[in-house]
Amino acid sequence: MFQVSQNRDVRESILLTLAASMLGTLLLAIPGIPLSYMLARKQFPFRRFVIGLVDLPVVIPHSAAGIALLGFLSKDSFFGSGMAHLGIEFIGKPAGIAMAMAFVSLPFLLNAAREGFASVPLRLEQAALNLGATPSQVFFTISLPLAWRSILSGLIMMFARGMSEFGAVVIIAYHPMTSSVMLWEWFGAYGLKYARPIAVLVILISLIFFILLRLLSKNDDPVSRKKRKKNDA
Amino acid sequence: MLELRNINYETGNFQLHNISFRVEDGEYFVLLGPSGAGKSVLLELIAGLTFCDSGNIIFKGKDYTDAPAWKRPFGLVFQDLSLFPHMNVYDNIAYSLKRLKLDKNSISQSVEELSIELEIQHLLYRKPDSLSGGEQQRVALARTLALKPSVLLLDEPLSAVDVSLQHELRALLRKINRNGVSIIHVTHSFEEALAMAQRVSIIEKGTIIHTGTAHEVFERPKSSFIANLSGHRNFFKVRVSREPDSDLLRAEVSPGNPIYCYGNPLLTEGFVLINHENIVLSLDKPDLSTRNNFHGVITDLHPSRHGFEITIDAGILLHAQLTAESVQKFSLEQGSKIWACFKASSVTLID
Repeated sequence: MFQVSQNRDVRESILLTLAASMLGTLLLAIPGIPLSYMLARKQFPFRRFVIGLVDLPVVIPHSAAGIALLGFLSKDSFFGSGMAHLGIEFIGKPAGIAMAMAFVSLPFLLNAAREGFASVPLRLEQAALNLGATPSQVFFTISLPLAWRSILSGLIMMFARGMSEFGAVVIIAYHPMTSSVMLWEWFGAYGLKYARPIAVLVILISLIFFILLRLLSKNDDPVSRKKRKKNDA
Repeated sequence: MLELRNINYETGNFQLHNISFRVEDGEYFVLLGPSGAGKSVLLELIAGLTFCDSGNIIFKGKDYTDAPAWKRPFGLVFQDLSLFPHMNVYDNIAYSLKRLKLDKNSISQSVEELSIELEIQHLLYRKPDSLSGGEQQRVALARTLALKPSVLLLDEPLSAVDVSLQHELRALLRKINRNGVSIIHVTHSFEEALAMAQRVSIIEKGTIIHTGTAHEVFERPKSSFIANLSGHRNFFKVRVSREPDSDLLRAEVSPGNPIYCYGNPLLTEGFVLINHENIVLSLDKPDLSTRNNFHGVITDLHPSRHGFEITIDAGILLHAQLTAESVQKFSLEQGSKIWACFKASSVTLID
């Protein structure tokens, strides 16, 4: 395993996996968090249908999700050609990998954030409105801070799930290789003996990141804060 | 002056019908009614947290009916207080001031002044969940007052605190009112209304049934709810007719059970009120000049502050009071037969 970790291709693929998943998570969090708030608070036609639609990337085969995404991101599409004019390409690029990872793992963030926002008492938002806050100020000063733990938990799950994505990623970009694609290729080309060390390494790194992020979210927990205070005293 | 004109609002099975009242500048106005009457909804309508189906909310000549909540000059203190749990007391009070983008010194000065006025300066850096009910109530008031609202809306402000704190908070609310803030105070407590109100409106089933000074409303109640609240147990809805060749009116609670009284001869329907102090009780048929003489059975007899309260079923349920000595002397108990008599002139007929 030590030898595998010294391999430049392996190191680069792991770094790419971490960076692409992080980038995809952060990028889609920007529209995803307000969308979750809307789904939690606003009533509009077909709301339940939209809530159901959010889970679609989880239930469809990820290779199919990759094909659908390919149609959306390729230069032949309106979006893909528009982005290409801005110098951003997706197919066979890290940006495409980030999008593929984020697309299939977005439901983890949307659902956690929606539940977080729904658990914030409506009365607190109304109190803020009555105190002169506009709806956007209410969102940033009341709803977001109070739902933050659920949102952070969703972000961690989205990031972790994005890192492990294979089906959609392999359709959008075989190269540069993410760790899942590399693992699959090494297994096919060299067999179990060579694939096993890299599999263990990927699992270990994923585990370390997952635990670190979970610890980070736990530190933000008011209950554990209270415990720390007690211990300090 | 705040004026509500013909407010109508419907949600689910609940309706507010044609609500109209005015609150003068600097007035302490109490909205009294049982649970579910629509008091809190009315405050939410005034605060702009929900919008009425029709009608107008006018303040100082300006129509606020469709104005968003954050543009209305009305500060609402919720029944559950709704303090922001992720902020300390200082930040809760400073919340509205930060929205006004005041500089830090002005905010700090305002928070300090308010905390001194409401005696919470020692709590400024504590979180709301570490405060007692009374302390939380003061913080909620300070937070709302920071915005200098023209009208302060209070939703059951004394319901969550014990009796000793209620006295303190009443004094505090009077002080705030004396400083020129108009107050609309919602409560289901008769004592609270009596203690605080310059004027009071009674709301029942989404309708305002009476508005006036506390004296006007409680001395001549227009609903059994308010009659019960103000201690008037003998309060009946009646159909009224004239007695031939007499000034007397015949007020029938149910067919065959007339109460004779005096009043407006043009009235066909109304309420009668019989003060229990005016009811004379006797074991034998009394030889009295009273026009109303009912013979009935004691259905309930229980100790009260002034002796015993007894309920007599004489076709209508009459409530009277007796001293403990009288109950003992006449050996009264449940099932005893008794006469209840009162003069026609002692009956109040209310339209």
